[in-house]
Amino acid sequence: MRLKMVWKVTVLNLKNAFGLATFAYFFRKRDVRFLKSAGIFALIVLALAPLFYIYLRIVDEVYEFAVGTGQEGVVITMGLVLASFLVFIFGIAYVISTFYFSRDLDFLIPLPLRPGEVLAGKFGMVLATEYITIAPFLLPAFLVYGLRTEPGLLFWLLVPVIYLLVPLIPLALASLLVMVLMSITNLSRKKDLLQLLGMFILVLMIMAFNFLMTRVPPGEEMELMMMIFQDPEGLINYVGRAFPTTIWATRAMIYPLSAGQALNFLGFSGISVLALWCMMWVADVLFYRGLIGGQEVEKGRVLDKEKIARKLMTRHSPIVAIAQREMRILIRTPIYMFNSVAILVIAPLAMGIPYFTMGFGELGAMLAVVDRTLINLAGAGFIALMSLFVPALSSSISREGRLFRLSQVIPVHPFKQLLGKLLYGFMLTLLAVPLLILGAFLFLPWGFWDLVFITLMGLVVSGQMLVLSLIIDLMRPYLTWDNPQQAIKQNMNVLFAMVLGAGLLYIYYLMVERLMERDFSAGIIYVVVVVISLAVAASLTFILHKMSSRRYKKIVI
Amino acid sequence: MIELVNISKSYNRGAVKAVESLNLAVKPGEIFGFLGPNGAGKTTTIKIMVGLLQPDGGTARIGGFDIQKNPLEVKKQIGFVPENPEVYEKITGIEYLNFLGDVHGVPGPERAKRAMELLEMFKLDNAVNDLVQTYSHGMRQKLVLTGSFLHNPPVLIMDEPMVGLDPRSSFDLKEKLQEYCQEHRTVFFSTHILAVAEQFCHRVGIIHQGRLIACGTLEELQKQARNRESLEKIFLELTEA
Repeated sequence: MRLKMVWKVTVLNLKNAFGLATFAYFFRKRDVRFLKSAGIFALIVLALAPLFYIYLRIVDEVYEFAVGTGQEGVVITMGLVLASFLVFIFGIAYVISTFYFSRDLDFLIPLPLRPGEVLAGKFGMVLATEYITIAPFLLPAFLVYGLRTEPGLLFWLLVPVIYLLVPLIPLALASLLVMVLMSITNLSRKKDLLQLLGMFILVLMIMAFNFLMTRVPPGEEMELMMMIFQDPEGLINYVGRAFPTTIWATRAMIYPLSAGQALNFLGFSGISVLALWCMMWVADVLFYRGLIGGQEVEKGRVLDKEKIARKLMTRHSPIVAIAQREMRILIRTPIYMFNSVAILVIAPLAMGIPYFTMGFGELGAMLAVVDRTLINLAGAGFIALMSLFVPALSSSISREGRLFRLSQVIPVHPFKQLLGKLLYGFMLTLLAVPLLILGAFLFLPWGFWDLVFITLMGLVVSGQMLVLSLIIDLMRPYLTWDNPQQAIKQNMNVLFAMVLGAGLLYIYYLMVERLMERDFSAGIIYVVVVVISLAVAASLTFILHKMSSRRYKKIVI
Repeated sequence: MIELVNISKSYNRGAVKAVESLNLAVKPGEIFGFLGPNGAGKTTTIKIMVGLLQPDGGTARIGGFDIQKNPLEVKKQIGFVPENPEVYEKITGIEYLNFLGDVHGVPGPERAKRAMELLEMFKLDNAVNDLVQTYSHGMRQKLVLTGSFLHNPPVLIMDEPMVGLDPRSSFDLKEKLQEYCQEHRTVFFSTHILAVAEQFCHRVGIIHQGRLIACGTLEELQKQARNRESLEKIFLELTEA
């Protein structure tokens, strides 16, 4: 492995992915766009500041609780586990797209570089992104512990070292799993489908593993409590058991001066480096096996002239044609499908894990005392939330990439094109309905007509979320991506839409709560929610209409 | 049919002048070749004509409509072939053609008739049910060309349409374009292949450093140059002067 080569590939990838070269060019040329880029960055930081503050407060509360048990270090373990988990879960899709679907691979493969060197360069790029992702989760943990415990200089010296080491193990693990998956699926003719299924299975396996690790067998709750509070590291061991190396890292940070604990640091850093080495070693064997030929797909059936002509006869309106195009691209791009649709499975599972341990019967009994209006509205809210989590519209223009040019030259008014995208957004939002049906079978108190009503309500509330998402992406689309995953993962529009949309849903929640406190009937509450939702959606659609032509003209790729 | 009046476009806040006071008119029934060295302003001009770029000044009119004021009317009248035949990778050739047919509002039977003729001409009928990602560069170019004819536009605007085509397809395309112009339609295309322009364009314009330095029939250009042997010699003399 030639480190110089790895470094060169990494730098090239970083410059390309983060637009560093463009940023530096604007700065050198004193171009006003430099200020615009810097301004957008500042805006992102400002927009995320309230969330960061809330998280900081939570960490502080955890610290406060942990003081009582004498295990304050648990805040560090919590930060480390959260960071590792995020890197691992989100790393899988990101690694697949960066390692296997980047446009620059056609340029890199013919160069005299070893597979491991190409992969290490790509790994460096993903790693740099992960450092940004984990910073808001990890740094507050270090800060709260460091400022409140005052552990000395060595702690602060270890902070950057541990921070740099943390993502190595989960990302190397994700990369290893992906390389095995891709080298197996590349053998198949239906590789797109297999890759998608593989990604689903990987994530579900990880979640099942996490569930089993954190599950407490019935009747052993007291024993666990005793262990957590009597053992001086009980809480740390319990929180960190999904990623045991985080326990070593915590020990290294909280007892930095003892020689025995130095072993913990050596263990943690040693395993991190070993994970990296293993990944590079496997890459030399497996990487190109999964990569070369990976873009080849099965040929379609050769059709006779009559059949081709018949297929060419079907005519649709431009709005339907655009919705159809969006849907086809989504379904046939595993990475989009995974990011958009997998979330529909993963998010409810992740949210529900703590409750599933108690059994559906008990869950149903628990819900029986909750007001029915609130449960129905929560169902509608769930559909609206899923319309935000499936980043169908907040990345819809960005996902067109350089092909946005085609949308600029077709003779369909931009607003009509956006209506096509909205139709597609509603179609995807409907994918949340099977989950509600499943919920109704298992524990939710809904019959057929309840489900119809909740679905319609959900679509009405989703309308504003979808239009809002579209406006955000239209204002600043990210079109110059290098691999399709970037259009979602490195697209701040997705995050903006989620934050703003969730904020809007929270306002609805507060409003419903107030109305219920004042004993308004369910009918009136539903009408209020529907009327306000439609009014907001109509106002946002008016804004979308006003800005559509101007934006389509102005965007230059 | 095509009218460019005083078109100017610069980049980097005026530091780079891509096109400067360009005036040009192309009549119905004419095949117009737009020539120039790399970076001369050909693609910028074409992008302005189809609405992909906004000019700093001047007007581009196609079929009597101003692209800035009536973009949709202009887009209905043109078939456009861009410099790179970029097509959605995850849809099939048929789906791409149907998409274009739908957005142009072409009735089914008409769409099928025109598409079949071109697919057969380009020998693309065997591949049209495959995803575009399986296509070679030349096949994508053929698909984009087929799509540009689908709505029978009065004006075809093509940026380097022959690049990537095999000799047979290139020949067939030239024949098709000639037929097309006989129906009183207009073809505007940029090319680097001077022999193509020499053989088959009614008129030629040469753009250099953003300015139209010569425009006319081959005979008219020959009069402007000292070396009159071929278009290649004329081109070199005018652009290297």
